[in-house]
Amino acid sequence: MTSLRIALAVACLAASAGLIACGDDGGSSPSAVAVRDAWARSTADGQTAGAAYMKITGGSVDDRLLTAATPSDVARAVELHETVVAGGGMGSMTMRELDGLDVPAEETVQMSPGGYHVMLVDLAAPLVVGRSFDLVLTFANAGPQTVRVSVRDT
Amino acid sequence: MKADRPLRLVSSVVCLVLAFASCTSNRGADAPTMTGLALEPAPDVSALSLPDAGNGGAPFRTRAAPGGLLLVYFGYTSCPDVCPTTMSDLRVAESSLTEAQQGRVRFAMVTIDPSRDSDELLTRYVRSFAADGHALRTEDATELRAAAAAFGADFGVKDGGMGQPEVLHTGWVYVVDDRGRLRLQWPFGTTSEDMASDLRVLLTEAVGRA
Ligand SMILES: [Cu+2]
Repeated sequence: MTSLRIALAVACLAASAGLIACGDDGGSSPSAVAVRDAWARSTADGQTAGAAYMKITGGSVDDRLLTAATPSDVARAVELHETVVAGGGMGSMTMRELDGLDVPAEETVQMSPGGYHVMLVDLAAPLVVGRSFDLVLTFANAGPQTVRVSVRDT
Repeated sequence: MKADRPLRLVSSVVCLVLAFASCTSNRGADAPTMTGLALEPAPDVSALSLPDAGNGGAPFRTRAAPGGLLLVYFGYTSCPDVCPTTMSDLRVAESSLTEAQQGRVRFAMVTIDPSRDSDELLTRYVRSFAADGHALRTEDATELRAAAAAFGADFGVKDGGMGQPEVLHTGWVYVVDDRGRLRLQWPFGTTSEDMASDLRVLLTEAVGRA
């Protein structure tokens, strides 16, 4: 337990000092933004909002994801969100809407559970495993990019 | 996908765990190690009961059946990210147990957003994760607040005006034994492997005691 506690303490320090890098050292230098592994978790019966996740790798110049959109037969509205730990203790979590997401040149930004996500507000129909839908991501530099989001369980 | 979980968030939750770890202590040297946080003494939630929306609102006591475990979660159905992630991890954890063990684990979700989560909606939601799950819902704000407090859970629903209400909630999963003691709690981001391993320890212990 003691060693675990120390390890956790080190992890905390590392995280708060921003020492944990999330970047992906991709080698090649693509000139355009690349979006990979776009997926959304299947929804439960009665679940009205969903989330999509993906990896976005910047091109040769810094870029910024401005908006996301999907056909109305998927969701009424789409927002860029981040799940954050709220102040006040007990590990309460909440989501905040982002007005954009920076994608630095040649760096990979991860959108993943418990972090950045594309929030699908008022789903028109449940998200079913094996299906997929289009999501249009609009970047400040790269412009609109259509990605196919596949629905999975995990 | 577990590896993608943002480290920053997980470690901030873990930091909170650390802050609480000072209140915990190990039960004997030979006690198997568990990932979840165990408060000592284990809080007693056996006296607590909430209406079970899937059972006509009959009071449901937050205590496991003899020899079993009850997993309790405070969430809401329009939760897009945190709740479904935890439900999915729980489902994977439970499916890795033996069938006999699975039969001893029950799930209950308490809605922190009863104004949007109707009895019917919550029941459908819970049952799509766990067919025998309990959908706990009360419109009595005082009762809900007291239930959350008994578990050490926090929540808030702020009217978002024109937009979506801003919901805040504790992302823990609480593990209650057959005496109604809160034995363990997992922060958001706990892997399904760790959950399963902790469940095996507690289920084995319950057999030894029976
Ligand atoms: Cu969100």
